[in-house]
Amino acid sequence: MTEVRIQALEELEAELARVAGRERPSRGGAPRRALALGASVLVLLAGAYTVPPTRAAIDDLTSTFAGWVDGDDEAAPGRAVRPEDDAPDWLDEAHSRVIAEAEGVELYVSRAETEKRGTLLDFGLGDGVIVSDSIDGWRERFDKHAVVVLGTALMGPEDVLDDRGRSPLLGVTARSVERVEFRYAAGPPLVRDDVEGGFVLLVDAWRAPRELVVYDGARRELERVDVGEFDLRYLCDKDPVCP
Amino acid sequence: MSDELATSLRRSRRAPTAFVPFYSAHARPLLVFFARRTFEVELARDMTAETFAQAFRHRGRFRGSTDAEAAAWLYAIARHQLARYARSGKVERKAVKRLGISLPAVSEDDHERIVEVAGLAELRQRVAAAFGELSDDQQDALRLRVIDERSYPDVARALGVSEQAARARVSRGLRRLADALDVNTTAEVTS
Repeated sequence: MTEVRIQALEELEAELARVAGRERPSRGGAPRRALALGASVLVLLAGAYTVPPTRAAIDDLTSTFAGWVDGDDEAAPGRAVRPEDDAPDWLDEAHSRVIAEAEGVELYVSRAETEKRGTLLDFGLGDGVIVSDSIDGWRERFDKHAVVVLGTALMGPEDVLDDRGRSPLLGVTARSVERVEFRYAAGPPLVRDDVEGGFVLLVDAWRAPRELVVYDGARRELERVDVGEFDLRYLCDKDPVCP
Repeated sequence: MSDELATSLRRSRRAPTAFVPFYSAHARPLLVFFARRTFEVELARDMTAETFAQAFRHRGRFRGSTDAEAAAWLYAIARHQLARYARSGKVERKAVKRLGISLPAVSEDDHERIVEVAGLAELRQRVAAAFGELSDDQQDALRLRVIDERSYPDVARALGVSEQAARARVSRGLRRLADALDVNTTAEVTS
């Protein structure tokens, strides 16, 4: 018996084929395992910040978000969320910004008004991790810092590492910060010179991390952070993507 | 059993166009699945599109290896769509919008075919027959709550019973209708 055609389904198939055809294929690599979401949220404590920042940096980090939180859109960090960002579902795009991105992993910030806790600032680390606090809470964390490391994110929908054994590490920075250096215990550092309010660094999970150093435009060191807590080498134990 | 569809779905993670055979195999049964639960062809079209759009966006989350697991994964998304619709009365279109998918129009011919393929005429008759077999109390409660869309306190006042009793009548009536419909998901998945 011949199956009757349903034109709408055929047109939908053509649409999906078009969407699939334009999507960038994954970089591939060996199968990777998922990690419980909670385990990927790591926040450095204030004690890990070993070098006192300059006075200018202290003012800067708070002010990176202060104007925007107060409703001044011209003072907004990063850029507006675009449809192609594939932003996570929880995000209210009208009140959110993309602060930094690297290879499809994005750092979002979203402002949410709540009855009980007032204005909340939610940082989205990639697709699945949210770090949330009140404005006062963030003010306390930002106080006296030029950089705050927010944590790690998943590389893909459920992947912890990419096919080169790297994991995203995300953080926010003072406006004066233009360069971040992620230093390992050995070997060359990972450097980004295009920092504007935050960063997504794809750090080698198979190397022991040592510190994160941030600089201003004149290459003056503003702060140095111990990132030993982000030693991700255990992820490589069972994952063949690590070199 | 080759489990080609599960393989195709997993492969689509790295080769996105491999998703298309997975769609082709499941599109019609899924449309029928929605049509038999909403009785609305356009709603079924919208939910089918959103389900596949979500499946495409989150295809990396599929961890199974068999066709049965792939179907179960897809229908879990589908049931979520239905639940959301039942709660909010709106069809979710977020993934469709994100992907920039244009929803195809449902022509009159398509409409007739979908009604026929989904067996909606026969289903409506069965619902009507099952409704006629409910007690008068249950029929009244269902009319007020489902057709007139009145709140439970309103239904209770109209029937002269407690809100708890009104809820019980609606619940029992709906359960008996569901039993009469005997929708067989497994058959739809594999047909």
